[in-house]
Amino acid sequence: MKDNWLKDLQGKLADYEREAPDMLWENIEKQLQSPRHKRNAHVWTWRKYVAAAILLLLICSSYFLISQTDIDMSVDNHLANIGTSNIDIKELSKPVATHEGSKGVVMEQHNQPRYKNHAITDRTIAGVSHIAENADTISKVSDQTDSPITPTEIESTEKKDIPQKRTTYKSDMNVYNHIAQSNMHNNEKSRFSMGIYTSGSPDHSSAMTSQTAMASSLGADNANWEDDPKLGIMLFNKGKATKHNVKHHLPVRTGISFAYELNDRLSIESGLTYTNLTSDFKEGTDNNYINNRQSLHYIGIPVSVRYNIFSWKLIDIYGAAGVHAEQCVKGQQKTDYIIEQKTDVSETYSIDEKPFQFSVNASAGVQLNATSLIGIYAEPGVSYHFKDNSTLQTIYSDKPFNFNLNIGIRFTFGK
Amino acid sequence: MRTCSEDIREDKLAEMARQDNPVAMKTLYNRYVRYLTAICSRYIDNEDDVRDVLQDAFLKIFSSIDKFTYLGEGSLKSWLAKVTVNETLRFIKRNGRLDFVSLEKENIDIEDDEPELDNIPISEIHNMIRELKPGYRTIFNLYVFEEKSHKEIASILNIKESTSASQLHRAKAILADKIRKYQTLTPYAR
Repeated sequence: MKDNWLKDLQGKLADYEREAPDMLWENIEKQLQSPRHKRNAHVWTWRKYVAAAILLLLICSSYFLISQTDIDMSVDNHLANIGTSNIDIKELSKPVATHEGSKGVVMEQHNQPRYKNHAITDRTIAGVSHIAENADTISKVSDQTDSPITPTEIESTEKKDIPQKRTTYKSDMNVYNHIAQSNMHNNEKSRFSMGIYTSGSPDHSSAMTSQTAMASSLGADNANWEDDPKLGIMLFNKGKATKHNVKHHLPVRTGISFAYELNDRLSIESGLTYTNLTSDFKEGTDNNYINNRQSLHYIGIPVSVRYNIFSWKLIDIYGAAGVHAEQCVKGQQKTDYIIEQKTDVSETYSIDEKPFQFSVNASAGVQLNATSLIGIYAEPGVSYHFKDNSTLQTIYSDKPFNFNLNIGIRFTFGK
Repeated sequence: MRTCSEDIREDKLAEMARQDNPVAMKTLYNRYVRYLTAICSRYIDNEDDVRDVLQDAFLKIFSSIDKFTYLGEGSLKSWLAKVTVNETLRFIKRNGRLDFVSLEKENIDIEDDEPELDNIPISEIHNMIRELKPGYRTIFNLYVFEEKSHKEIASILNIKESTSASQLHRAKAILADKIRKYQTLTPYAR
């Protein structure tokens, strides 16, 4: 079939006209007079500014997250290396207990993550510049770590420990890497950590010295402290400055949210959230301490209003404000008694108190719409958590005003 | 409302509309609305939808007329057509389920000779195009009137190039068949 008739048809219909639909101009006129259209050019400009600001905020926060990963990892490396060299020194001083020594190494390596966390907290408080210094020294330290092991004065049995040490260290690192990758929240924890130092408070240390004096009669270093780990910890911390350290982990929140569009700008949103608040309360010195890990599980319902500022292709940029009501459904506390960085006794019990948490929040976000129904969003925001009238110490009670970054999937209905 | 004189030039009209001159805007509307209605209704068969899309198209025209550059007589008209087609396609993509009917479903005689258009009213051809299924209609319009290639149509509608080609082939056959039938049924038109 030739297409000449189509050319003909195109020509015939090119200037074809039809009667306009009824009321068309009236509707257009009404729209033109509505304030939204009149201010169109102006509104457009401020929307663009806001959109640019939100994008910048998002880029900055993601950059911050990424750079945090780097810092955490380098500190880990550094500490792991220091850990290894510490062991070497200790082993050299106790050449007799070769078999027990190797066992000790494995245990010690298993405890490494806890030690790491602790050190990260301290360092973060000390300042970021410090971390940069640490990162620089890694290569030097790692060079040095091999050298103390190699000298021939160490017995052959000890040489066997070296590969063992390495593998344990490696697997630990892998686990840690894996966690870091799968759970970005971990990388941010140092932002939310808080440290309170009570070095040498009079009554505290006196209590300790008296305990130590009593316990000193027990003598031996290798004694089993299972019956009274607290006493052991106090004994070992004799004469050392102890500190009380509270570290709140970044709240881990997952949820599902549904939005209903009231019009093309405004939508109302609700859903269901699950939040886990974990805090570590640590008392003692770096090597000997009691660690109370408090873990609270909340189920919550958020309600918020979202205003779409700017839409371009599949992307929406919006601002939102709302409230969030959360009820604690389960609480648990795990107490670890750590002697020489080795978990001596571990106790777990449930927390009876189930606080109700209420918060208000405001955020700005960007959403990528996969379809008209489902979209992926990222929204940095601020929130304020009201007092929950409970005795529990949480990140919300210590730091009611908080920044957060929510990432999720949103279902949109309506319109 | 008062309108500008009938013979005001395109560039002057666009310039005045750009400055939110209500008289110029109404004149622009009056001058081109029937032309744009024809274009829009060639793509969309539902009258209410045509009105909604035209309304959006005019709002778009008035809000972005500062982007229009005058390139000689007829350039305003073609710019208006372009904005309207874009707005129409946006509507179709958002709301239309462009079901590209599988080719076996309909049984149409495909003849080699081209249909004769001389004795058939333009409005009738227009209506025949409107009667095509949405998928056929959209591709037919884009190919014949917007002079888009199958490659361009494929990217606009997010379909395969081969789909566009086969759908157009089918659309042409159906339209030619309609035209022939019309001519057989209304011998007086000859």
